[in-house]
Amino acid sequence: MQLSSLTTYSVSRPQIIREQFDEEVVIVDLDTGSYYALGGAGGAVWSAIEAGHNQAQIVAQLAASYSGEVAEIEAATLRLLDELQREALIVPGAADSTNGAAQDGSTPIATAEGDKPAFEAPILQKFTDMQALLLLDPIHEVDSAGWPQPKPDEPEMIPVAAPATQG
Amino acid sequence: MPDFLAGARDENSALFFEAARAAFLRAEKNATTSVQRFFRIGGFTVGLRFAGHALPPRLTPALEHLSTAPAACDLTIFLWDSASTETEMTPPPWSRDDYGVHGEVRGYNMPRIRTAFHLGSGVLSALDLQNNEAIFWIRDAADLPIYESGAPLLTTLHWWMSARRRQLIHAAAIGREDGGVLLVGKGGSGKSSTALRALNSELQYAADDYCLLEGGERPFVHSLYSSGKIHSCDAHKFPFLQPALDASYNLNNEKALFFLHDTFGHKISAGFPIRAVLCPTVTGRETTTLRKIPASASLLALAPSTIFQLPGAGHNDFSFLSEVVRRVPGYALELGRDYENIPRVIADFLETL
Repeated sequence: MQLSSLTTYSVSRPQIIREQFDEEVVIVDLDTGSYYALGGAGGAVWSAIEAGHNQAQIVAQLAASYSGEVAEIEAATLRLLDELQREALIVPGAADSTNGAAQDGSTPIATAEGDKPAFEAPILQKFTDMQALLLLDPIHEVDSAGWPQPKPDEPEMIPVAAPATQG
Repeated sequence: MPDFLAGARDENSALFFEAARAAFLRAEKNATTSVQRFFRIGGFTVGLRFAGHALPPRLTPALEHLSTAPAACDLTIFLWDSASTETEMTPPPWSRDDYGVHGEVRGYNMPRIRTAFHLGSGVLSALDLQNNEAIFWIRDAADLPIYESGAPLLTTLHWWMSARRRQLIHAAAIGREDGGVLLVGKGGSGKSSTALRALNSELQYAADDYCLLEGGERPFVHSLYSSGKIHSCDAHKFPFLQPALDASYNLNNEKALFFLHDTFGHKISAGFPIRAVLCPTVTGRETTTLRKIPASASLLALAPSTIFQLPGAGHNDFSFLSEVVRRVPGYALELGRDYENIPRVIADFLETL
């Protein structure tokens, strides 16, 4: 496949916040409530995206940093870029100044031939257990002053015993 | 998601806050009595000024362990309900379409003023960061959900403490005066039950569900609430809790809410330095063990449940938590069936740090 030297990527929205560690990138989507762990060589891909590298440069950088078949590295990288776009975490095109770069505390990968780590395909784990916290219920009733009528998210409370009074 | 920093200027939000404050003063006058309580929270003196007597028994039990003598306040919160004071709240100047997912009011969350109406509880929270004053209002104190009693003033304290390098987090905390651990993870991970076991051990208890984390070179946890929750079906595993459970409240999902100050006041710590972040998981194995995990795993367990629960939480909170997990080592706490031994495992672990 002909890699594009024109296609760059950028983080899609300011609401995508992320932190880069040696072993993986933690990404949180404040809009949807989804959060992600990007492991394997995914961290190196993400760094390259934030650095503004194009598709061909990203693959070249990984091939220089990891030992492994170039075709495998290329295919895995393209799969990840596709997945990140499907998750609306990145978009094609150059970054603007509003989508601040991730804080990067990672250690630069050794590139001397004998020190190259083996390529591990990027893995993007997605977690959606927090999404329910962001569900917005439309308000149906307000009182005469305009204050919303509460929608109890817990039913009536029943004391097990007489409450201890505090003053 | 709507941009809640757009809209009305600080002036409009300040005008609403002043109107709400004036309504409190009318409520205080109508109630003929007021109650003032003082609490030492996160190293600051927070004064609660109640109009009437309806709200104090519903909002102070979880804070009793932090009660302090009257003093000059770093933050003053005015609290009242319309029903018992027979005083109406000023009408909202915004529309019914202006509420965010956590009740944040569009156009009324500016640098100086924060405003949120929690749709589940019917509580209005407003904060003036310039004058260090806040408002808590509900139509009727009798309608305050019990879970609000377990974690009172969560929104206001989150906002105000964030400006003072103290992050309200969803975590438990146990340990000793010279150091302890945060227990982080989603519901059902064993976080709260591990914390409660500290009440029957040599370790001190600082938090079950929420606490304040102070950043810096040596992160420090401050106790916030001395309340606990437990599934009714698990109560038999905690026989030492019976004195507290005798005066508990039923939540839904068959959980009970109880307060610890009266029966376990001697076991509650105001706080300690954090030496490790523990991520508990129930394994079903015989014994409890600890396994080192990378900082990213600690952040995954800690950040989402904190950020997605709190109004206005975002980049700054995430960066704060990221800094903490880089400073403090993380471990998986693999919980075995040796329940009574869990605090000892943690105590022995603290000795090694």
